[in-house]
Amino acid sequence: MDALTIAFKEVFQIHTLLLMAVGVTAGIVTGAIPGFTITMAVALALPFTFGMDPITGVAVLMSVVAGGASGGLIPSCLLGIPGTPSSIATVFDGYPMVKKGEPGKALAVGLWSGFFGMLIAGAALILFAPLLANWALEFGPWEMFALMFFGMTSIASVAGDSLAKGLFAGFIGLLFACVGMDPVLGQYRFTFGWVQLYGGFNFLPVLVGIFAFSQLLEDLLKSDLQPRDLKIDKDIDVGFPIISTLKLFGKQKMSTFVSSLVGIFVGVLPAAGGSIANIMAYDVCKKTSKHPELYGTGIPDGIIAAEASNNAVMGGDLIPTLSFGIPGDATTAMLLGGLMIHGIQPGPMLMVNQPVLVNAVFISFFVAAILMVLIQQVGLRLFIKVNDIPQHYLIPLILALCCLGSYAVNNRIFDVWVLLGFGFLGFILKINDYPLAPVILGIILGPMMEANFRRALMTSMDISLFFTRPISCVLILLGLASIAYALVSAQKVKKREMEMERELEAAKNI
Amino acid sequence: MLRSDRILPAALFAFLAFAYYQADTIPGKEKGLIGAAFFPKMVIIIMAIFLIIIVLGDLKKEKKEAGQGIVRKGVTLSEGLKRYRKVILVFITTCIYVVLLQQLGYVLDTILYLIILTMLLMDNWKEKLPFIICLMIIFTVSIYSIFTYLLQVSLPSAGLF
Repeated sequence: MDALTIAFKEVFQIHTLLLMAVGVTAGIVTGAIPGFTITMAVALALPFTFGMDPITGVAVLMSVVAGGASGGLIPSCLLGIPGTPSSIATVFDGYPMVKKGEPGKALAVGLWSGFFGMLIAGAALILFAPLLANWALEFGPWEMFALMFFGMTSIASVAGDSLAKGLFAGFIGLLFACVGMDPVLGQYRFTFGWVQLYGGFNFLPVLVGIFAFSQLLEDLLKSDLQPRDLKIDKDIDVGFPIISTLKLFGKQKMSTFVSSLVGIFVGVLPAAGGSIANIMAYDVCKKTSKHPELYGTGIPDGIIAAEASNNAVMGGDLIPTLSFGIPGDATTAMLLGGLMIHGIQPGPMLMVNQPVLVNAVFISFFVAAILMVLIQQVGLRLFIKVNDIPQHYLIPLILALCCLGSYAVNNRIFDVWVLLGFGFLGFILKINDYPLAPVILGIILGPMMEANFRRALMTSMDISLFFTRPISCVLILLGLASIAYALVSAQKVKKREMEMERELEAAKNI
Repeated sequence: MLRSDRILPAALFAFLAFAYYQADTIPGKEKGLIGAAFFPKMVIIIMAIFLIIIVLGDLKKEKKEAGQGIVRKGVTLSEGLKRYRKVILVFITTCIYVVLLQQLGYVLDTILYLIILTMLLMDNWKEKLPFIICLMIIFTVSIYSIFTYLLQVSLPSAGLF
């Protein structure tokens, strides 16, 4: 049997499909709670996949991501509050459409946009991931170092207000990645004689600490831990005929396609995720529309732009993750962590060594998209109620799950301390406006970057080879260009964000 | 007055100095660029440069704000403790939970942790205490059962729990 057939058999087992359905449901529930991110959903789901085989585990995690990307739609449309950072732009037209008395249409358009976005992204994933991985197989240590350098400089695209803070955060990750045995000579560094540190920090407690634990600590600063005043009307009519929705998409083929492409493109960039894609796609569609003045008044085009792009991001994210081992964003960093737990190292060799697993990832991507539509369509009324769960119950339960997940990685208390340490570090950085995604990128890319740099120098001490080998030179130049571009466009982005804020306010006032 | 925009860079500089000192003790300096100490040292030096840029940028911004009549104010220790009270309490409670995990066992420790945490975060917990206790027992026992019997992950146990 070939790899594709085996992968089909693995994914289409009843228990895998059932677990994927549970994953999608969990993702939608988390996405539907404002303030909780998709990354947090994956962090919470991770420990449950430890006991599963790699294919089932990855399929479940992908389902959680798919559900999470779509779950944010519910509060965005019905409350005017983005469920996740990936659905900020959904509010611009989703909420006004609900205000106009079309909640069913708003949710249906959003849901199906996400579905089509995922299908287009899935096709791109199947097409480009093997191509890039094949190309990367030819790379020597110079090119690999240059690739990692390019990955690190992409931090510039997510650094927010301060490029220096973003790059500093990335280097924090690089420094923590140096803890443990060095990747070339086997020399222990920064271990202070602790046996637990000989292997370096375990990736997962660090990831959960930085993204989930710190987020929960930050949530505690908000005063509205008590039940929210904003409630979704339980008698709201959320029904909308599927045929009408699909007819609507017949007229919106181009904007769905363009938004999905924007999502894929943003996803491919390391460390950039749905939070950037949805705003960028909304902006692109508005600028290219014949009626830009209608955006923000509750038109389907706006919802399609935001939702198709934020779901397509997942496919884009997976391209560099599978082909180079560089995560597209924090959520795929979690997926990468899930693979590593099972002893699988993503990168160019993954396609060669694990063809069944890679095919299973492709198949489960589409299955997750189908389950997402089915489950959200059927369970919409129930998912709306999720918003009523008070945070003072949720936060303790999620904190306990974070600790449990960190413990279960290696069955050792030390990893729970790592979680607390990095959670605290993440919180301190966050309240001082340092972005967190670069920290993780640094931790992931650090060992590969260092190993390739040193291997290149062990082969030849001639540093000019990094600039005279064509691919390496192009990648290094691209890295430098991305920093320069970020500096130049920082002012433009700031201006655009202010405009977006005004639009959001205007949308809420309609 | 405490100002996080002053305290954090100072703490980070101290951390970088400590890390550099530690990196300097890594054997194999004679190997130069390919030695185990080169990469971390390079990272630390670049971090220090970025930190200086951040501090200088912040000082420039502060000067500009001062020109517009905006004065940055710090907080007193008591104000800071009040503002971050919940974060500090939750963090300390979680540390105690981790310390007691092996002494009390997963089930008992987690139930106590969840109940105490909910009480810390909830205003009217007294009225709902029986519900909170039941909810946390059900949650903990369910999670314990899923991990122990379904996923075959052994969790810390002590005596009956």
